[in-house]
Amino acid sequence: MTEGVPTWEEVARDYGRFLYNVAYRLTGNDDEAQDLVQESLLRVRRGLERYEPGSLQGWLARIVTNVFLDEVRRKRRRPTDALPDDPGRVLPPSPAADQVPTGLSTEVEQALLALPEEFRVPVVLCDVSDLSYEQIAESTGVPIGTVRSRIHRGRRLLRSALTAEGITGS
Amino acid sequence: MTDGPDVLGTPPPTDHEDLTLVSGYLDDELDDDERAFVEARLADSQAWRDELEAVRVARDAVRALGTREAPAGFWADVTSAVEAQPDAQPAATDEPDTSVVPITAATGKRNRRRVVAWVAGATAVAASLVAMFMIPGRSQVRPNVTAVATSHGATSAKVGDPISGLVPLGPGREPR
Repeated sequence: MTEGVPTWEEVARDYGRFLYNVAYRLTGNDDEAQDLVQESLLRVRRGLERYEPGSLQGWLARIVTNVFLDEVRRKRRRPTDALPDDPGRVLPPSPAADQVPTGLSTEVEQALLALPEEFRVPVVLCDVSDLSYEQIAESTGVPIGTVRSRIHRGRRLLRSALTAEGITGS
Repeated sequence: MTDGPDVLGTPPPTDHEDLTLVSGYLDDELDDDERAFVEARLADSQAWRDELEAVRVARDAVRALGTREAPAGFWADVTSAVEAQPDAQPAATDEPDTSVVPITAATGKRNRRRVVAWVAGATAVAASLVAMFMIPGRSQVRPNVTAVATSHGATSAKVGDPISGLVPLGPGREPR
């Protein structure tokens, strides 16, 4: 291991929880989150040689975001693909799949998932990953002003959806 | 903000100032001038205060979601799956692992494919040139085909094979 650069196993151990949570908030379900984390760790393993010590969390968020957006693009190209039947799938179905927490979080999760990706990604990176606008800009490849705008519009949409569900008052 | 009134009936601010500053203010992402500007608006505009409250509620709702834990056994499975992968560099046609590619842009991948195609073509040409100079000429071929054919023809003729009996025909042989 190079000074300051963890092994991929250490990344999985120390940042796996972070990776999984971001992946879950981006995808909205456990099965896709697992695929996302697995692919992200593969990229981490391949990319560690090029990693320059800095914000590891920001770097990981960038990777998981790229994997997610790659998948979004792939689905747009081939919308009929059915992931559960993918023979190349390595991981078994999650026993926790389709289980949703009780309480208001269900509605919030649904509202978050209903956001278009261009708003959901920066909102998740900001409010779930706790990244700065600058880190989000680096992760998503858009200017900071655009990040701020998308976060704001995403939150407005969320607020409207939650109000429509009767979750929040005026 | 140009959105219409939300379902609460709270009208959005009607001015054309950048209301996205409100989220920046909430996240402490503004510089001093921007912060002073927002605070001045919040002090004298109910619409700005409503906007701040709207995005604050949404932000707090997302932050309150908590951490989603992976299912039991997931980490053992994923560790095995990653370890099982060949420890190779990404394929030449892969996206860079840590690069950011906007959804609408894939030119980098196309360009990379062109480079790969060019390299493949150049490799094929180089292989052809090597083959031309390295493959031995007819005179260098071993074993000597003429000698083998002569020997085989003589043997076969002795056992009455009419076809083999027509051989040997080759350089330096007298026709029968």
